[in-house]
Amino acid sequence: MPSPDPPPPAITPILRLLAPVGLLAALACGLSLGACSPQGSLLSVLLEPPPPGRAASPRPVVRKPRHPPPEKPPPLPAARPELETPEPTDWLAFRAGLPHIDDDVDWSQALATKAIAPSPGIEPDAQDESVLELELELVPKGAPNQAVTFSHKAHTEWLACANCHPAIFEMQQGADPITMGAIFAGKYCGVCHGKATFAIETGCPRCHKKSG
Amino acid sequence: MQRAPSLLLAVFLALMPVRGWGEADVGDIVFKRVTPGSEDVAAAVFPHWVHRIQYKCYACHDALFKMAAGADAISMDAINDGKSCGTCHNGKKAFAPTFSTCTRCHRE
Repeated sequence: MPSPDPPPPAITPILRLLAPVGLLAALACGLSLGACSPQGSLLSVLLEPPPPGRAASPRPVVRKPRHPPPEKPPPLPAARPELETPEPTDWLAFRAGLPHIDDDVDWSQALATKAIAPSPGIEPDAQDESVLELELELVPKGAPNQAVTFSHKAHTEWLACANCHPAIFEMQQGADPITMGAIFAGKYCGVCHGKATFAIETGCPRCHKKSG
Repeated sequence: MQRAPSLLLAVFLALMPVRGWGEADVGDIVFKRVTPGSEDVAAAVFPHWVHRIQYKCYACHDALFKMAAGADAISMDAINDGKSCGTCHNGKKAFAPTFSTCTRCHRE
């Protein structure tokens, strides 16, 4: 004869009813006990206002979904595309190859040998001024050994008549009292010589050709 | 004392008569500043010789520049407007005044 089953404990249905309530109670107890921990309990976070320092903290930034970056950023447009710089020429090396008198470029010789071909103007259709084949003997009174041979040709290859006449030199030969003192003071020949072209101090025989 | 030879060499090299862009040359016109407060930037230097290789005197004188240095008021505004040096220095005929070309004119 099989032994009868032990009678079910009468407490079990009561426990089944009380189990969820006990679980909740335990959870509440644990949370409230955790209030003493440094991090603060979940209940305190939920129920209490944040501490003063954190109350002022900014709200979390809601990030928008990022767009995928482009494969290659497009090149920036030039601010002024017309200002592209041409490749610099090595003018120092070019000058070193020009004919020289002492340390100075012999510009007349550079023209004669076609080492250079300077333009007559900035515009492409600019025309050369006429060259005047007139040599002048400028002889100071009483000092023939200080005579100057002035070549209009050498000058008009570079200069127009109106560059010098009549602002710097009168058209009439001998009308200007040209002296070395005046030239050193920047008048007459000294408007250019020593400033834009070969110096007065080192170029004596280039003007005083017959002084020996 | 071992530095003396190298120092002498450096002085010798510095004094060698090599003409470069930084060396004063006949025909170089150093512009005079007239705008107060602009002394921090080196004044511009106009080298006649490099222009003379490409242009005759009357290409610029007297229509663009008077013969006497200092007779023309030259400013960066005028140059940027295509006047004065900017007649050519506009990036077409010659290099334009940009921040990569400052020292080609403004040099000690």
